[in-house]
Amino acid sequence: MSKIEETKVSKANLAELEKELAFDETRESEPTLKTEELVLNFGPQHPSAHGVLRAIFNLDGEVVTKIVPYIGYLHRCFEKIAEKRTYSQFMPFTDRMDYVSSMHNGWAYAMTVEKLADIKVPERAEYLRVIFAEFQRIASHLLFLATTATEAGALSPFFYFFDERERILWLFERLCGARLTYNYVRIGGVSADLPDGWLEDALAFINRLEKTILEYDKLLLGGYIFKKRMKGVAPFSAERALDWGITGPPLRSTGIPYDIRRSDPYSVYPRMDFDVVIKDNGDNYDRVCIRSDEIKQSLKILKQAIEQLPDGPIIADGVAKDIRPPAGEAFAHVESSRGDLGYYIVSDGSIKPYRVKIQGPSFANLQAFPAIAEGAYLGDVVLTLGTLDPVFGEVDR
Amino acid sequence: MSNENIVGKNGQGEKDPNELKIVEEKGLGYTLTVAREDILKAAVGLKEAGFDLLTFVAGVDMPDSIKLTYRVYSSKQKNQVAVIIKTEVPKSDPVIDSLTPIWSSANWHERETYDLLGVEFKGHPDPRRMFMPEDWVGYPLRKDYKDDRMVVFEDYRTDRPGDSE
Repeated sequence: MSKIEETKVSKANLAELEKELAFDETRESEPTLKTEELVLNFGPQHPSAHGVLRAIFNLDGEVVTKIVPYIGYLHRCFEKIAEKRTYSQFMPFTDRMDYVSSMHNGWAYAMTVEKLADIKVPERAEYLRVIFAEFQRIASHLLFLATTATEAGALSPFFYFFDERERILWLFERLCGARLTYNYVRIGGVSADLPDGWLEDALAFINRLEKTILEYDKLLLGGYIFKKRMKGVAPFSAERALDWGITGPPLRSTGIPYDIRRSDPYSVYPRMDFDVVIKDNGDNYDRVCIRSDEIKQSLKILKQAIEQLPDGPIIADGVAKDIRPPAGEAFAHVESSRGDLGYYIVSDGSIKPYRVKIQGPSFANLQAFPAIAEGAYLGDVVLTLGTLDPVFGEVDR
Repeated sequence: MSNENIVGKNGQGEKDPNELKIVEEKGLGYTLTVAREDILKAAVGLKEAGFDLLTFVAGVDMPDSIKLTYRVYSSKQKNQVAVIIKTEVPKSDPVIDSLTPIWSSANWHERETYDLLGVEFKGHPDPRRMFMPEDWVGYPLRKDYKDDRMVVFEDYRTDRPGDSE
């Protein structure tokens, strides 16, 4: 009985209580609560570290104030290995660089060697390379969308995107027997011609994805919660992006139309009709949307390439097993799923390269990660890392 | 093509005809070869001419020097050109000015070159190793690098002296 009496508050008391509990900015900002900076170790074994990134986060409450990344956990010194292998022996290693878009790596390396040794690639091989590079770009971007959705807490899109990606991997498997590390591009051409019925299946898949990707856009990118989570988070301007050396979709999301397929055209891309997708804000949401739009452009390229595919040989005639390019240097680059992927090879006229330098876009993009993500919430930092899409095989090489 | 035009407009050819000249090299495109003392000057000149994106720094271990190669690109040019800057440092004194104050992206690339080839970059804000542990001895990408734990792939098809050692 007496207890009830005690808790009974009069109207006057209630008003007083409300006043007591009301939000008061001056009072809130008073440093009554003693907080100290928390240092958090992230990785190298963390499911959302996209590989083996280790970073030290300094946390002030939930805001990350400082990030110091440590890389090198996957360093295999491929550049040293290349000096001990012949030109064609190094080819399979390139697949292990950026293992999510291996096709581009093999192509960039083959292009550089071809430039060095003056090998002319048959037209059919060029078209096949374009077809597989674009399929690879779609597969890589689908993986990106799947993991980003998962990191943002949306689990169902993962299964849809992986289902589509799986269909591309089946096509690849039928072609060269491998699902991830293809070793399909060879110096002077490609290793295998299309199996019977492959083109029909590829076209069927393209027609399917053209429709489904629009649905996935609605499912993921149009979602209110997803937008709320991604829009305006970790934006950067074009000037800062260029200063940091960012290339690929993150650079294009700030409005710079830097796409090697257009700015330094290679292979048969000048014959293709497609747009370089650019966005304006350079925030996390734009970096996700640009991937989805690039998938649509890749589908456009694929349709044209399949239509224009000529007959003929798939590998250049008379390419020796041990290529001996004349002494000199060459640099060639392609637009990989992650950006400007280049190879710089120095030859001394022997059967092995004197020096191979790999310009990996993930390495350059990851470099900007601390500057981009500092000042964001801890939950958003992981997402920001995800939207830069680094693959650590390429970062550490 | 209006290639001459680009070189004339961007390049230092007009301003400094004696020292810095952009030439077209087979396999590489436009290259600019400078002495190591002039690297900062060349970089500032290129940056002012609109070359705002540095994409890589590579070191090549030559018999008595280390060749350094930088690739810069201009986003402001409609023709979208890239220039490769080449320079050389002697092995006895492998020091060169850092380009990090000019292009922030040089930071990790220079750390990598220091880590693997032992080139010191003067004025670098964070001169640590990039891939190898901090206490690592030696520079793995040097041709004379030796390590007991290193397994060297033996290949009978060698025609380069020193490969079968």
